[in-house]
Amino acid sequence: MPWVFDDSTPIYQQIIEQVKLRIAIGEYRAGDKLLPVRELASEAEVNPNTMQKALAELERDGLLYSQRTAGRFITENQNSIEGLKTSLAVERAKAYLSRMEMLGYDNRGALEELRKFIGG
Amino acid sequence: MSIAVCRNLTKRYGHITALKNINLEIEGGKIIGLLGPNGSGKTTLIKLMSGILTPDEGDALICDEKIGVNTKKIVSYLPERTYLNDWMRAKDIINMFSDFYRDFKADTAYEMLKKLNINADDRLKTMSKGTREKVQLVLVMSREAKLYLLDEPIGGVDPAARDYILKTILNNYSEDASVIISTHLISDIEPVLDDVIFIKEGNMVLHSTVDEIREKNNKSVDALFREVFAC
Amino acid sequence: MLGKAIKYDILAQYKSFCVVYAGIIISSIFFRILDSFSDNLGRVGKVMSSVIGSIFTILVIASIFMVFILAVTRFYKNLMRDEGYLTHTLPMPTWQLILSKLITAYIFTIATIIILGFAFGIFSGEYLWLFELIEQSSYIKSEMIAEAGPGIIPLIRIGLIYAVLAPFTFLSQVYFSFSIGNLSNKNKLGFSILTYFGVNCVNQILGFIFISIGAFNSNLITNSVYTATDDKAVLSELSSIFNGYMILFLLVPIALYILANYIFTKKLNLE
Repeated sequence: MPWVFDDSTPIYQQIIEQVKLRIAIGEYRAGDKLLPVRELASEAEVNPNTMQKALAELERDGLLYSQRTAGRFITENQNSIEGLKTSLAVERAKAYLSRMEMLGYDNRGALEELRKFIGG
Repeated sequence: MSIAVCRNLTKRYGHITALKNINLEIEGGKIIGLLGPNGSGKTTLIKLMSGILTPDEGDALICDEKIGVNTKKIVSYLPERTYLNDWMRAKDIINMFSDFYRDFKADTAYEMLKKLNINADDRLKTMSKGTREKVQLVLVMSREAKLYLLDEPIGGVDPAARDYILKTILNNYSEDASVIISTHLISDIEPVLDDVIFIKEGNMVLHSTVDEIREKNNKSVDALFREVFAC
Repeated sequence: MLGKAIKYDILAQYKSFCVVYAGIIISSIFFRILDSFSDNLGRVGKVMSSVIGSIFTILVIASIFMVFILAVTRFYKNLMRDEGYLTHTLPMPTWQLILSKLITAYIFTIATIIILGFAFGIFSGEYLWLFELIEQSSYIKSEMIAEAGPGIIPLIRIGLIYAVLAPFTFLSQVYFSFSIGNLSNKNKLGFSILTYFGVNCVNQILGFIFISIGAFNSNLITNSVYTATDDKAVLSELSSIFNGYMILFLLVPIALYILANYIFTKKLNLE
């Protein structure tokens, strides 16, 4: 998955989102070792301090952990990862519902459209 | 110890005051964008810090030293123009830089030239303008300096080389060195910056982190720039 | 660092000199060869000989001009144009940058004199003229004293000192003019040239004043009447006048040189 940033919000926040996405889709698997900050920053073409800020916050959230000499790793806690997937799913559901609301559908109408589309 | 400090820095050209009372402090490990329209004083500020110009009032310190021989040892400056002697070959210039600068890494320079498909045996006279600019950038980035002053490093360069240049700047990153990039191409460079400084008509009108600007204004630095400097 | 600066100053100019030196030596050899057949030379041969002789002369004159023209252009290009962005950010003090230019000019002056010495030897057929000159020097000296009196020796000594100082005198004016030109924001080169003419004028006037004072103070002219009785006495008086002029000839260039250094160090105004 390529790193893509837009103008709207601080880049470190966008990095956090994209790391979470990578964990959720399995690109970063549980226990995987992350590249060092500098290399990750170079890959994403962002400032190393920005990358560091994002990773530090992800650590605080428990999605990453660091071992002093070994580096940074994705959490091995399956519950955290599942929890992440769930919260991302919820975010997307919210987004879907609010856009359908713009078209005039209430929640039930939106759910109906979705069911029709999936064909069940 | 800050990497650079400017105190009441003022520079005049005849009647025109190019820089008015600039006060700023730059710490190590930062990549800073110096942004402003043509003629705003960005280049003057960079030239003052590199020692090419002398101030009319105030002074600047690099790692606590006044601008002079000692600061030139630790400052790596990329001007906007071609400053290399035409008749020299790329490798001659690498030798010259090795001769004069203790912190110059010739191996790094050769490697970078290779990656950019530039032949070290070619004479500068035979190179295109863009290639010459790349050579100059290679020389500047092959030094292990404390302060890099880059005046419009990506302006006349193709997008692929632009990416390579930004990657090089990031790869060179070190916690006790800082990079000041003066540019118009803000959106290309914004993700790479820690802080930005806006210079308008010789005055410093903003010195902030990129994150703060995005958070406070809900827009990118590029967008804010267009607002601040609207014609 | 000074040594390195000199090295690169030489590298920047030596190729031009080598071309001219080669031309001088080659044309002197060709001329010598032709000239050694002068009895058997037909008209064409004689014309060729003249042509080669002329080429030789032109190159000799060119080489002398080259030393000073290249010294001036190198200084301007390296310290006041785009190259200055590199030169002035090198980690070396400005006085070394300028001194390096001065030393390099002297190096090429000496090199040119040596090459010319050899070339003239070849051209004239008197290959060993330099050695003969050195061998005969004490004889030459005594002949001169016999002809012109002992006063001739200090005069020649002073002449030699002037010759050695001449490049420095010229270049210190040039450097100073450039340093003033550097201060201008509009036309640095134009201002430099104007300053050069100004400094030159002032120097000429000062020189005239000094020599006049020297002449009047000497025993040559008392009450504005020329009282010298013989040539030998005149020569002794001349040398004391020139000794006085030496002060100007030495102090003014030194002052200009120091000022140029100061201005380039404290008031650098690179465009």
